[in-house]
Amino acid sequence: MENLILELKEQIIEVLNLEGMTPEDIDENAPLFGDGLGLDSIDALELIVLMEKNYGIKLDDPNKGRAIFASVKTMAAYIQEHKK
Amino acid sequence: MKSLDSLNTVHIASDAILNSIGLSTAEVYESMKQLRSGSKAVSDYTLSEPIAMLSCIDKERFYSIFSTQDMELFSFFEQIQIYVIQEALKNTAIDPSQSDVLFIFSTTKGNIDLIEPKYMLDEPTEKIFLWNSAKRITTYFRNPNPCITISNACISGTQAIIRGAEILKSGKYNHIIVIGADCISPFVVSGFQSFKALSDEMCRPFDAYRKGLNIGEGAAAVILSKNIHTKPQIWGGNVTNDANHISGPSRTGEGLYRGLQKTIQGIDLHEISFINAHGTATPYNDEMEAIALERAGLQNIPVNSYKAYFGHTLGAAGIMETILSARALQNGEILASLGFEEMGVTTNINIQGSFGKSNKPFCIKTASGFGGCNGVLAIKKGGVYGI
Amino acid sequence: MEYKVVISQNQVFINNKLIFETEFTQDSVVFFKDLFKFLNLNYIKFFKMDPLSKLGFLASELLFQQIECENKEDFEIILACSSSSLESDIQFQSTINDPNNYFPSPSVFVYTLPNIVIGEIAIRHKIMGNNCMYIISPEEKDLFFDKNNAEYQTLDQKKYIKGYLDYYKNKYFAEFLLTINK
Repeated sequence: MENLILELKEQIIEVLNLEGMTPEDIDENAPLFGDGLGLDSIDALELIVLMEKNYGIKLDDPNKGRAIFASVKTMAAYIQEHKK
Repeated sequence: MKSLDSLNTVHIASDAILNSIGLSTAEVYESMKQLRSGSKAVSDYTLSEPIAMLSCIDKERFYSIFSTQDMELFSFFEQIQIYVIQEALKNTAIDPSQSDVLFIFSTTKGNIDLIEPKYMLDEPTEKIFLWNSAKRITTYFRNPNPCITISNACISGTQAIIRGAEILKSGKYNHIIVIGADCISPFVVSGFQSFKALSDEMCRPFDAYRKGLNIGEGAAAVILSKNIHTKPQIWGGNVTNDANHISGPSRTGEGLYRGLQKTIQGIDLHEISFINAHGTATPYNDEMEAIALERAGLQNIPVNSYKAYFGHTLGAAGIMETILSARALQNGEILASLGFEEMGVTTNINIQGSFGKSNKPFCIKTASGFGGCNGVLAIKKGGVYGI
Repeated sequence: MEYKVVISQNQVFINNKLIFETEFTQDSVVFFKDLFKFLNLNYIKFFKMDPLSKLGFLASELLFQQIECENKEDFEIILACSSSSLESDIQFQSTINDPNNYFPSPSVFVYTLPNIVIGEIAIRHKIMGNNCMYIISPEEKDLFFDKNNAEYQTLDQKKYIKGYLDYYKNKYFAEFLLTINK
């Protein structure tokens, strides 16, 4: 799980253009949206693409995304559970 | 636009539409009265979803009436514009090759299919540039003037009419031909699919169960001329920005509210027959419009959206929907907001569920787009004096 | 009151005076980042923007830094470009070309419209007024800026930014004017 979390942080930084951030800057328990990293609705959609592209997990209902993308930790847990 | 400039008035002298439910304004309007929708399920259009609801032009029908002689160098996107310009010019004495005629184009993606691998070498051809496409069309009509091309997302068409009216009032030209067009492409469909913004059924603007939009395609042209008092008048219009988010509309409808406020100044609200909204049937757009309408005090005025009839035609939408609204206004009619059954927005706006009648002299057209832009247009019925 | 910014070939001019310059061979996106740092800006949204939006954002930022203006709500933003969003268009197209690697990117798609740069400027400075994006050939730039020309006129001629910008394949140019007429 640790490796997955680190890997996810690196991918998130790259895919969402989080300039100047390193994985150490992201707290895996902190909220991704709202105040935390200030991600928005387009970022949420991009995370859906990330999950499908890198882990083969398809999320057809974007409303389920809220719970899954609450934090890096919840995202990692979901991936662990559903990875192909 | 300075609405109260009474020296010269701007009117829709003529118009033409081509879309999934008709080859002329009259045919489209009649199809709408019959509640016909051009949205059809198309399998495997892109790899994103198995089904996309697309509102496509019937190409076979189109080519049965449009001669492709001398059209080899024009793409489908350009041919449909040439067609509607020709149709709009019929029944007028306007000569597009004269220097007192200006062309204004409105499109979001133009010849975007030219960047598909099958057309691309190292570089896309010059035809990919919107200014190049527009220029070749005005050259076809032998017009001597530099033309204008507006690309301001989905408000382009509405804005092109507003700009046309403003330029006409400047006195430099006698006639302005405003054309809007966009075609369905894998580029556009897959883009909206990545936004999860598309519905897998006919779209349902303002409805509680709305799921998203239907992509459409089409071309529409209006010819704006001065002082033809029997024809619908472009009474006023404004463009604003939400200054909130590049793709999501403002939750308070700030930009649209300001545009509405500015445009309805000087109009007695009791004289507005209906408001034709942008109504794309996405959860956020329709809610934003509902909020803006209520904030502007317009919650009692009948509201409709035409998107279920022929889809969201992007760069053509503002022009197409203005033409149809002007026709309805002139006929003393209000078209039904197809796709609406159950109220699905949080303010108590008045959705026109079925076809209706009204003799009121004004209608309003609104549009909103990516980039936070909003366009609002006021149209006044022709042949109505003393108001 | 009028100010002019030109950004071109790794150089930045304000009212024809050179105020910033880097190596000519430098990559455009790296140049934009260096200019961003030079301006001492704290705005993380900048890094999500496509190059065209970054260019327009920086040009308008430079202009607004020349004036004191609390409330910019009524400013007009009237821009023109030639290549439209072609740079981002091609990038988005690349995410859908390969059926075995088909992943349309929403964050790229949103920039496949030339007017998004207006949105970015409006959001940054809370500008809610009239705005338009025209697509013109490079030869029409003078026509666009000609104040006597009805075609590209601003609505009120009171407070506006009028600018031409273009970005395609690492080549860029921006000429932006800020005008305040009392």
